[in-house]
Amino acid sequence: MTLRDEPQSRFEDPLDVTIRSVLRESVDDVTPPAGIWEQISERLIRRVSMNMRRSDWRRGFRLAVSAAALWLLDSATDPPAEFAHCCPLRPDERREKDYLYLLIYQCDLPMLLGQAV
Amino acid sequence: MLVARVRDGDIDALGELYERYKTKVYRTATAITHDERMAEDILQEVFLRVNRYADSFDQTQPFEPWIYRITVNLSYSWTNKAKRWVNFFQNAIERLKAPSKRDPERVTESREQRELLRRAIDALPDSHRVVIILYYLEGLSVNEVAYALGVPGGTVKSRLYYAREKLKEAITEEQGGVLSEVVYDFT
Repeated sequence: MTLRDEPQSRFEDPLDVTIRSVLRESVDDVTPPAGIWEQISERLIRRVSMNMRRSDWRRGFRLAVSAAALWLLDSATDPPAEFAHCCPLRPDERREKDYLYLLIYQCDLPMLLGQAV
Repeated sequence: MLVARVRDGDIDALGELYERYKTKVYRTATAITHDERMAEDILQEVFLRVNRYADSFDQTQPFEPWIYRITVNLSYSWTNKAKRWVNFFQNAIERLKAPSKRDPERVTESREQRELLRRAIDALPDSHRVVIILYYLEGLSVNEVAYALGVPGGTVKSRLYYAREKLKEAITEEQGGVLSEVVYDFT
């Protein structure tokens, strides 16, 4: 007798039947406890909201840096050309929103500007 | 397709996949790790990974072997991490639990044979044990096992052959009984 790979015929031999049965017996009453899905979805939602917060922070920080650069450019009597070149916004593009971001990120800016200047 | 919806961020679609596969994943993880608490953690992590890697899933392939692949990989790595800590205690407990051959209340031959087989399965190398679990317990075909483990079909066949021979030996050595005369070629 030769065992083939088809599911129909592969468990006909007593040894194969016993192997399958022993394995099934060992996990017979095994079922995942309730509440696992809730934990998974909670972790997913937390991850999504964390990613959104991170992406909001990054977007806002970019605007704040632009505003800070503009402010420095305006304040400097003789700004280096490279600095003006780096500034992504022209003075006429300044908006109140940028300054608002500047306020929000004021704690983080010295570190970044300290590296840039 | 559900995976395509998961890829688009649909958590409900992931929930549907969870309902469909939770028992298979949990059962496989339990069979490999022998630890239901660990299997719970693996179950969670499997579906978090399905969500995270839905982008990389090849939609021309069936989903089931893919989820088995994630389950097996996680079960392996978690078991290996835990193994060195629990091995000593586990062996000691097994020795205490094992029924003595001189015990007058000895279990029936068939029951003893099953116990021998269970222990022989546990004693197989992990790479062979997992093949046995996926093939016999989960009913995967050789090709599906190969995909789930990321190995060629020939490797699965040879592991099945080797494992089956080992199990047969384990029983015949202990029992002195004659088992099957089956030629196992998986061709």
